[in-house]
Amino acid sequence: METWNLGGIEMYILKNAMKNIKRNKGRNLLMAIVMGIIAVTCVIALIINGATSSIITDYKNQFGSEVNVELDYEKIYESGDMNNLPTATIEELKGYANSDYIKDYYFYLEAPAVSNNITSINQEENSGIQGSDGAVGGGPDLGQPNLKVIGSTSYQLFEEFKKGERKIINGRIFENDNEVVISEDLAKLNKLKSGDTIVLRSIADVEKDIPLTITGIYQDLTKDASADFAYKDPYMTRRNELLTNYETAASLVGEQANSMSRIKYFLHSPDDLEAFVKEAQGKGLSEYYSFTNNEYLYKQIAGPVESVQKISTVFLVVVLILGGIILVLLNLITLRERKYEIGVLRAIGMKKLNVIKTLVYESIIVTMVAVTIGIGIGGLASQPVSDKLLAEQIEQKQEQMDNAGSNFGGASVALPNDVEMIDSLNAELDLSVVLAIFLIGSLLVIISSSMSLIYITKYEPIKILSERN
Amino acid sequence: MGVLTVNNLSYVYEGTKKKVLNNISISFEQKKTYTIIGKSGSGKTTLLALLSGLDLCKDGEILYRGQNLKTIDRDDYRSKKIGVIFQSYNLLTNATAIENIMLSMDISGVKIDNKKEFAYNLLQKVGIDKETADRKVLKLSGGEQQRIGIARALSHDPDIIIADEPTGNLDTATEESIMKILTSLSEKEDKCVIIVTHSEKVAGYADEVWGIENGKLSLVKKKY
Repeated sequence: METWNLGGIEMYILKNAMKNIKRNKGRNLLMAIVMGIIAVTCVIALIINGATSSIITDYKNQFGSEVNVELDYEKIYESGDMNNLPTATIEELKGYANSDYIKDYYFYLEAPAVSNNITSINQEENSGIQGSDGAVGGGPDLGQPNLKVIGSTSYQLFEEFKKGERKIINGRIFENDNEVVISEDLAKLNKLKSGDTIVLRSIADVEKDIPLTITGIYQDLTKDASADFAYKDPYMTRRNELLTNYETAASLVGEQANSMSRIKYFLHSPDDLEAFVKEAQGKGLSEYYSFTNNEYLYKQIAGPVESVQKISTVFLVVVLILGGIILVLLNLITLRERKYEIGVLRAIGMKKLNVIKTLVYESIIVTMVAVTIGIGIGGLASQPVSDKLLAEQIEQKQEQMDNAGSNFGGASVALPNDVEMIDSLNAELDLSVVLAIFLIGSLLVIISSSMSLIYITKYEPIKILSERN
Repeated sequence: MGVLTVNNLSYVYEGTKKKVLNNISISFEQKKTYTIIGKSGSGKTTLLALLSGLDLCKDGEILYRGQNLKTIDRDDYRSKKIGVIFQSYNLLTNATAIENIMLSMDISGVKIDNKKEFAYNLLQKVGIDKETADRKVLKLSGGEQQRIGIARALSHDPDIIIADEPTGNLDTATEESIMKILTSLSEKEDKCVIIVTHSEKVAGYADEVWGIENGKLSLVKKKY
C-alpha cells in the first residue's frame, strides 16, 4: 500500500474535524450558541465603544482643552480684600500663552462705540437714544453706543465665519490695526464701501476721533433677532457689529480692556491644565485668577455618551468573563468523551500534532461559524441597541437637569443655545471591530480546545484509555 | 530472527517497587499465533502495552525487525506496523463502523483507489455486512464491535496483530468465530498474531502458549 502525501494528511485531518463536528452535533451546537452570544454582545459593545470613543475624545478635547481665564471673585471675597483686585495686563496674559502646554490662545473683546457720521441699523426708530445718559459699557459721557466693535486675536476664531453665518462678500478681512469689516446692511445704509474710512468715538477717550478703514463687507446670514422686539437696540443688532483685530478693539476701551476681555487658552491636552496653571502662577499670575474649562458643559453634552460607553464596556467584560467560564465548564462536562476520543486516536497511531490539529480545526470551524453569524447579528443590532441605550441615558440626564433646575428655583438647567446634547451615535461595523472579534474568536478557540490540548500533551494514550476502562 | 523480539525486559510501575515484568525474553515470528496466558495482575496487559508501543520499557529492549522501539517513531509503529485489538474495543462510538475503518486507514497513510470499498470488504471478511457497517458503533453489539476492532487492526495490513483479551466480553459462539478469524490471519496471511488472555480455551488456538506468573514468562505449550 502507498502512503498519503502531506497535503493528503492535512486533508484527512480537516475532513475528520468536520465529520467530528457533525458526529457531535449537540456538543458543538451548544458551544456555537455560547460563542455566538459572546460574539453578538462583543460586536455590539465594540461598535458602541468605537462610536462613543471618538465622540468622547472630540468633545473632551473641545471642552477640556478650552480654558477660560477670569478673576475668582469668590476667592477674593473669602480673602476679605475686595478693594485691591489683582490685575494682569493683556501683555502678561499673552506671555502666559508662550508655553509648551498651549496650542493657541484667543482674546476677544466687545467695545461699545459711537459714530456721529454713521447711521446704525435700527437707530432711526430709536432716534434720540444716541447720546443719552446711561451708557452701555460704562464709558463716561459716551452716551448710548450705536455700534459694537468686536476684536479678536484670530480671524479664524470668529465662529460665525466658520459656521457660515457670516461671509465676506466684498474686499478682504482686516489684517492690520485700525482696519474693520462691516455688514452689508450697514454699508448700504451709509453708502460705505471697502476703502472708506469711518470715524468712531469710544469710552477710552470720548473726545477723540478714531479713524478706521473699511477693508471688507460681510454678509450676515442669520435672522435679525431684533426684528421680534418692539425696542430695537442698535448696540445689540448684529448687523451693527464692526469686526476688527483684538488690539484695535482694546484701544477703544483703553485700560478697561483687561476686565472686558474674554481670554481663552487652548491646551494641547485637557490633562495639561494643572501643569499650565502652575507654570503661569510661577510666572507671576495672581492666584486669584481661575482657569476653568467647560467640564460642566462637557458632562451635560457627552455625559450620556460616556454612560453608554461605560455600560457597553462593563457588558463586554462581563460577557467575556462569563462566556469564558461557561466555555470552560462545557469543556469540563464533555472532557470525558473528548479524552476517550483522544485516547483512541492516539492508540491507533495518530500523532499528537495531528490530534491537536483536529481539535483546533474543529474549534476554529465552530468558532468562526458562530463568530461570523455573531458579527452579522451584532452588526444589525448595534444601531438600535445603541440608540435605545443613548435614549435612556439622555432621558436620565434630562431628568437630572430638570431636578437640578427645580432645586434652584424651578427653572430647568438648560444648555447654551449653540450647544446640543449628543442624541445619536453612528454605530457602524468597521474593520477594527471585525479584527477584534476574530481576535476574541481566537481566544475562544484556545479556551474551547485548551482542556483537550492539555490531555494530549500531558498523558500517554494508555493512561487515557485505562482511566476510562 | 523474529519479527518482534523481547530481550531481558523488566518493568516497574512508577511509585512501586514490585517488578511486574521480570527479565522477560521472547521472540515472535510471522505465520504464528501466540497466546500469553496468566491470571489477573500477572503482568500480561503490561507486556501487551509495551509490545504495542503504547508504553515504553525502561529495562531491556523490544526490537521490531531489529529496530529498538525506543529509537523509532512509536506513532508510526502503531499506525503502520502493528494492529491492536482491545478488550474494550476502543472504537469511536459516535462514528459508524465504516468511518472507524477509514479513519484508521487515513492515519496509517494507506493510499488505495477505493478506500471505502476496501473497508466494506474488510468488514465483510470479519462478518460485518454493509448495513451494519453504516451504523454508529454505539448501536452495535459487543461481538460486532470486536469484529470492527479486528477489521480496524487489519486495515493497514500490518505484520503483527496484538490482541488483548479479544473475546473477554463475548459469548462462546462469538468467541469461536473471532478466534477463527485471528488464527486464520497467521495461517493464511502470514501475520504474527499475539493474543493475551486468561482463557485456557482461547489459548488452545495458538501455535505457542506462554504463561506469565509473578512477572516471569515461560513456554507452556508448543504445536509442532
